Amino acid sequence: MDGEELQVLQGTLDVLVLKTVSHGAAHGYAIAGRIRALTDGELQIEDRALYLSLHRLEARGWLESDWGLSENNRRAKFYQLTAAGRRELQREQERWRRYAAAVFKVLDAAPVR
Amino acid sequence: MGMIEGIRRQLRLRLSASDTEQEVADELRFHIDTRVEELVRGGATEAEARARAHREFGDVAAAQAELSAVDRRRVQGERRAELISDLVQDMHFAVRTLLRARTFAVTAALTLALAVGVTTGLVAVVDQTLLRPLPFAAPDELVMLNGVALPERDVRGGSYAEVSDWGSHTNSFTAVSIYNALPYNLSDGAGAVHVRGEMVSASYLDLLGVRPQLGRDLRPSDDVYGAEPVVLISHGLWQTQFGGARDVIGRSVRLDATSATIIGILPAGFRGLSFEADVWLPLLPYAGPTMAEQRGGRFLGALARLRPGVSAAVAEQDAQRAAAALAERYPDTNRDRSVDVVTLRESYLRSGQALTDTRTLLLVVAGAVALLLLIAVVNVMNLQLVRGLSRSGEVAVRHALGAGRGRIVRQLMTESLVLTLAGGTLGIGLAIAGTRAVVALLPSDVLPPYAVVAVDARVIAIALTVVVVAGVLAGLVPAFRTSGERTASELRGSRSGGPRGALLQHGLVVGEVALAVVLLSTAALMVRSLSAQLAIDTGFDASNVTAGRVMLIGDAYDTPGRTRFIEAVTERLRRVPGVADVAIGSDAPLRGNFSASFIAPADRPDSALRYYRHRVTPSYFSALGIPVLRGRGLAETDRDGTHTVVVVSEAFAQRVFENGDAVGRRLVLGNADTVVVVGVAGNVRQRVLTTSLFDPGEDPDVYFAWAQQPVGGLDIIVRGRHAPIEAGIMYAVIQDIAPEIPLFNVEPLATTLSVQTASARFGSLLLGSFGLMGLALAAVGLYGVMAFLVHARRREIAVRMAIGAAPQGVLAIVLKRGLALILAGSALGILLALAAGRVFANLLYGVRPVDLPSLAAAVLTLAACALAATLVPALRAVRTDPQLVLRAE
Repeated sequence: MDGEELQVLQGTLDVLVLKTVSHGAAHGYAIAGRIRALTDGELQIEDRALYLSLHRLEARGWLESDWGLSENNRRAKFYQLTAAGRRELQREQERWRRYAAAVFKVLDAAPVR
Repeated sequence: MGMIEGIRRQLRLRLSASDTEQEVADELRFHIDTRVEELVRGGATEAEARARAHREFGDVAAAQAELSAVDRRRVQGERRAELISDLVQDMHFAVRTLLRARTFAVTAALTLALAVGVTTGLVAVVDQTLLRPLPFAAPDELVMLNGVALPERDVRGGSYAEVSDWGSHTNSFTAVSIYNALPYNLSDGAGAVHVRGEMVSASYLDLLGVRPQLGRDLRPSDDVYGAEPVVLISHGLWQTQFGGARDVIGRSVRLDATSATIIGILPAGFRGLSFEADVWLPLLPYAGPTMAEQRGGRFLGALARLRPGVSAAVAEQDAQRAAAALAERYPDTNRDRSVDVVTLRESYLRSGQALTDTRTLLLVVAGAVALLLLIAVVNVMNLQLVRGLSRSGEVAVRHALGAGRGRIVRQLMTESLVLTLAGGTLGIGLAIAGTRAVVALLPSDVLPPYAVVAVDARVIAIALTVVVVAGVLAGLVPAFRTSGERTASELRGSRSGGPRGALLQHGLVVGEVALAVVLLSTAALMVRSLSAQLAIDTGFDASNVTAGRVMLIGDAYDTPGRTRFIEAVTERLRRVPGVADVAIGSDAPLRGNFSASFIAPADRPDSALRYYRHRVTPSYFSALGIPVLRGRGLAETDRDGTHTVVVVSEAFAQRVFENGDAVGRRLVLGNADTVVVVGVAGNVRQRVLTTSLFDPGEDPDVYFAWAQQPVGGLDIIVRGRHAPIEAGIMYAVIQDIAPEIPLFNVEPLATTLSVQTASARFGSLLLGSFGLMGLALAAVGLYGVMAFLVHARRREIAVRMAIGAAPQGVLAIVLKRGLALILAGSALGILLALAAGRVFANLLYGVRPVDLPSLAAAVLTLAACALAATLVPALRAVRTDPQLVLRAE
């Protein structure tokens, strides 16, 4: 992918993180990798912002963390979704779908003569 | 992850600030390291890879700070939530455990409730009586100047000229005002009311920081002989008597015989120093022309305000120096006279009946209440300890499961606090409901007039503090003791109570027993003092006698008018069915009206003595059941125009004449008139029940025939045949004969008499109930400890029984221990009681503070109860089948 990376909209990162973690417990490095892979590198996500998002979501009780061993046999902090986090993810997903659909309705409308 | 989860929670909750930072650092290092690894796998050198990883991540330090801040806040929040949930859990657990141990909880809470209730009531009384500022401007500067007679410093008051000199010949006071509380008949044409008044100087209201709400204050020019008599009235009187009319200023009313102009109305709530006055007036316009100058007639109090920075002690020296100068200048009237300066509060606390030294009474009651509270707290402590042992297994299990010692202490403390708060709240509730009732039992003179006792927010706050402190105290020791049990040995089941614990418990029981002995012996002293007072021969028969007072003042009441009045009243009352006898006199016994003068034997005019003067009708002696011992009583023929005669009291006869041989002897009065003694009457306790008339400090009584000294202030005394007559009958008769004369202070003499012993009865009741409460509490405490002792030694007892020891022998072992505690406690209690006795010696009558019967009664009662408390668990121990115990171990 050449071309310019897209800035992540404020507040969007949280839902992306929740979604990514919903696939299973993961440490920060893996989560960053997964998001990049899923978005084909289109989104520019700073590591620092990602970690901030993880800690913020944990403070809100949507994620919980635990220390475990990573695939490379190191001590790593694993995050996983809490029940409240799962509900939050559903709400956010729904909101995003409606939002995107509304935006596309406008953008895709036939030109007015 | 479940198991790890649990441990992780435990771990995470213990995170400190530095721990969170470390976690964040670890997490980020993992990120960088993993990236470096990946890059190295892709072919980069280690150094290149690390540099690139850092470049990609950005400012690691800043990120670390940011993340740590988020985590710290999260951990704090979690900790708080944990604390609250722990507390809720602790409370829940405490309530549940307490509900399970219902007998224990109810006993402890009820004893505390009693003690706290009593404490709260007392705090309310002490606060109102001793602590709250008096309701006057800068009340700490206010003092009373009491004119005293040396050498005993009996308070006799001052004359008008004297009070003026105390003010002008000293530098310590900003102003001095005369003060004299008197009753008046006030009439405004429509009818008469009996009101309380205060005779004061122009500076009086200013001294107290009060201004009239309407009209004007007194001026010095109002207080001059010949000035137009003026009067200030209270807000209440203005409302009730004058309907609150604004034009009342300038209106004329009659005060006794004098017509006076109302010049001002005082603000609502102000009732003067007496807290009951409705009128205020200057003295001189209402008095004779010599009042301003004469020095010998002393009947005035004096109120003064200290100059800022001058202490009462310094002011007293100043005033006494001035008094000494007056004595030199006017030896005839002022020799052996001086003045005492007492703070206003002190003067309130000193006034009142004998044996009602308010401060001492409060001190004694406060001491008793403190003891009671202490016993209750010790008891809860004790019960907790005992229970702690029976639940040491539970504590040990919790300990082994990982609960920290701090956590267990907190749990046990929560339990104590829940218990004390429950007891305390109940106690405060009791106090709110009961204080009014108890205060109503208080004799009227015990509390100063400004004290309106009620349990208010301030008192409740103090009481709650006491409760919490008590709760912490009661919980702390047992909590640490119980939590400190050696876990392993507890779990193994060998429950040998440590010697340290036993010592502590024994100490507590000894203390409880000692405190209970103090309470009981004090109560016994009070009861003995009361019975001594009830046994006093008053010298008159109060049963079925009622007395009421009138003031015969005014133009219509010259001597013939007064004579007509008393003849009519006597005659009318005698005709009322059920009336046995009627008498009229200047004063019936113990009603607080008396006057004194000087008299000397005619052959020794220099040896004058002070005596109390009574002017009575002939039937006075028979109506009051006072025996005439020698000679005759007064007769109808002793009237104006015949020679003045007197009947003297036995004490007078004994003091003045050899062998009390008084009949026929002559006496000289202050005005040089001679009178002849016609009879000797039995001694009567006229003024204070507890003062013996043979006490050399007590001046004796002399009875004149009213007809020969027709004074206007009179007690009407009616003896009923089988019962006291209705007050209503007396009101009706007086109303019918003289509607303009109000009758007041109508009271059966039996009531008057009982007021004299009210203080003693109250003290006996209060301390008696405290003593019983203390006794019950100590017994409960002792029972608990003995029960525990038996429990702890049940194995030893079982072994002894199993190898054939006689039950009596085993019983003896237990009893011996109990007895040792009781004896130690009693000995300590006796010592404390002896020390405490000194404090209230002056509340006692007819019994000394070191009183063997009282101590013996206290110790024996306590020992009997305590022994019973010991016997129950001891007997239970002996009756248990040893096999059961041994197998269970």
